[in-house]
Parts: sequence; structure tokens; C-alpha cells
Amino acid sequence: MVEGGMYVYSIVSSESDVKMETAGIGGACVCVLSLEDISAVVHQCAPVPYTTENEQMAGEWVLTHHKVIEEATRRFGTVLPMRFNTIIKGDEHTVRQWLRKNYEMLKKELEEVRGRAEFGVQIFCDESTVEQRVLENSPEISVLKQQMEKMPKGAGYLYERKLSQHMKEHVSQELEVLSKGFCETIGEHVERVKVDENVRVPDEYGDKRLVVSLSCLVHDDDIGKLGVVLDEIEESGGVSVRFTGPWAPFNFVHLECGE
Amino acid sequence: MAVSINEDNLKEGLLGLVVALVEIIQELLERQALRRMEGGRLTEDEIERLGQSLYELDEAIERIKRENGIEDSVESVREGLDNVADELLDMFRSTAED
Amino acid sequence: MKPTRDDALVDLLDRLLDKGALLTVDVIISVGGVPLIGLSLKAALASMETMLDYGMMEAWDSQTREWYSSHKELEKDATVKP
Repeated sequence: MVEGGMYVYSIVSSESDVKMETAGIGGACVCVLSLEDISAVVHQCAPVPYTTENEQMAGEWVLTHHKVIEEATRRFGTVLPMRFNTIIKGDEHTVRQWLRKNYEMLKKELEEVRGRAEFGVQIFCDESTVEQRVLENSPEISVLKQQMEKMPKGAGYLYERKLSQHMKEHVSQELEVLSKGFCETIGEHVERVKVDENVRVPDEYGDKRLVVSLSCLVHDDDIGKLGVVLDEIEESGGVSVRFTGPWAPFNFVHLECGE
Repeated sequence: MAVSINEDNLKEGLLGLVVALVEIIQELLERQALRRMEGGRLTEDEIERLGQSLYELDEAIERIKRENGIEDSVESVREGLDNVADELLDMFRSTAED
Repeated sequence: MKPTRDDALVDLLDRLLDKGALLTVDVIISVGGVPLIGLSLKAALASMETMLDYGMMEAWDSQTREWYSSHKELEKDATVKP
């Protein structure tokens, strides 16, 4: 008998099997399979990952996965979101068995995110602003610059490269200091905070330096306060803040599952 | 782990790749020259000659990029190489942590 | 400052493709992964922006935002579960 697969979108708090309104990837019928008071949002599929050469299709799939998660969040509260292409080999029975085996852990994780959502905070600055600050803190640089004016071409070029390297290093250090500071400040106002690595930023921020990108787990009641803190950070000058969300807690689920 | 070669950087063929590699070598040369200069191992005359050569190299590279309109393709090849290097380093880092 | 999802695509891709729970059990065939073969993600982003032009995401996004503003009222009324 050929085994099928179950594409898992998320784990939610729900006591009954229901059907979802949103169509799943490829128009599949999405349903909720429960075990006691936790459930998996799934659709039946072939036991292979979804892959394609067609960009349009790939984009639609990713968006669809997101829409299903959105509906699940609307209906059941904060969910434990799965990564794209999380497919379990088997059928309904397999899924329920897996829910049973991991009940305690899943229940605990669901409780930890109830009433909370993930928000993204990205802080950008202009390279020139930071360079200015570095110059102000390094008087030896203006001395060097004056000396450079009198140098012959070759030596002048080498010193100019040296200066450029020096600036790069100090700008990086300065950004590191800023980044730690923001992380601390924001950390005091959210439940959990995580630094994002390898972040993709929207094109309009392409010419700015990213100081830090954070994902924060925030309780519904604290969103306003966080907004105020971010306003203060922006007003303190030299930086612009990008505040995104709410998102399902992608960065705060770590399901360590047993068999 | 692959360098992302797409239409943009293949368009100008291998020239973009070659110039990107030359730029990387240029950076290494400059760094070494600076180290020698800061280490006090060069006379004023040597500094001048070294600087001149590196300056001319820089001018030549910029001119080639301009004349062939490959500034963007060189940049994207270098970004791709940076990503490969990052991935490699992460691999080393994680095996070290094991 | 209020949170937005105006440039949702970039943030979405980041989360759905690289984050989210990663199940590491034998029953799993596939552990996440980019759904594209031989295509750069930049190309995928570009095509998704086309979808935005067709208004696919905007309606959905404003619906969801509306829900979140009413959701907070509901949360306050709901009884606390054990």
C-alpha cells in the first residue's frame, strides 16, 4: 500500500475536528485533527515535498500557507506555526498518534504563546551619521587628513585606504554597541527577544545600514507600550525603526519531539 | 551551497567574474601594503611607489568596469561569493561546536 | 508607533522558509526547505511583488488587521482557561 502524506500548517488549541474555510496549497481541503484539546491543521498530500520551477507557483504556495495560519489564528488564538513543507508520512491516524506522543510538550508550548504574538523590530541608520560620530570621537583622524593633503600621490592613496579601513572597523564597532543597547532596551519591554540573522530587508531600506533586527514575543497588552518605546528610540535621533507584525510565533517555537 | 548565478551576472559573461576576483586580490594587496607601512618596514620612497602602483591598479579596474558596464554584475558576483564564504564559515563554526 | 505588515512579503519569506517549527522525527519526509528548484529567492520575491500589484495581498491584510483590533476586545472578555 502506498503511504500518503499529511502537510502540517500549525498546531492549535482546539477540541474538535473541523474543516477550515481557507483552501490549502494547491486548493487542498484543510482540516483540523484533534487529540483532546490540541489539534493539527493539515491537508492530505503526496508523501513528497512541494517543489517547483515556477516562481509564481512557489509564491502562491507560501502565501497560502500563511493564509491558513492566519485563519487558524483567528479561530483558535495563537498557533504554533510550522515551517513551509512540513510533511508527515502517513495519514490522520499517524498525526493523532504524534499529537498523543507529544501532548505534554505541545500543550506547554501553546500555553506559553497564548495571548501573545511575534513582532519584528528593525532599526536602520545612515552610514554617514555613524561615520560622523566616529570622526568626532577620533581626533587623530583629522590630524591624519591634514597630513594627507601634503603627501605625494602614491603615499596619499595608501593613507586614504588606511583611513577607509579604519572607518569601516570603527563604524562596525559603533553599530555593534548601538545594537546591544537597543536589544537591551527593547528586551525590557517584551517577554522574549531574539536577534535575527541573515535578514532580508525591503528595497527601500537598501541604502541604509541595518543596526539590528529583532523578533519579539509580545503579550497583547504590551504592544502599545512597545510602540511608545520605539517612538522614543526613533526620536533620540539618527535611526529609523521598522515595526512589523503581528506574526505567528515563528521564532519562538522549538518543538523537540520524541518519536 | 552554490553561488547564485542568474541572468544579471551571467549577462556580461566571465568578465564580471574575473574582475570580481581581481578586486578581491586588489584588496589583499592593499591590506598587505598597509600592514608593511604600519609596521615601519617601508622607506618613504617605497611607500610612494607602492601607493602609486596600487592607485593605478584601482584606476584600471574602475575603468574596465565602467567601459564594459559591469559594475552591477561584479557587485552581485562578490555578494554571491560573500554568501558562500559565510555558509562555509557557519559550517566550520557548527562542527567546532559539536 | 504601530506595527504594520505593509512590506509583508520579505518578512513572510523569512519566517515561513527559515523559521517556524522544524519537526525532527522519522515520520517527516521533508523538513521545511525552499520550494524552488534552480531559482533565486530574489526572483521569487519579484514575482510575489507582482501578486501584490494585483491586489491579492492587500484585501487579505486589511481583513486580518481588522480582526486583530477586534481580537483584543474578545481576549479581554474570554474566561481564563486552566
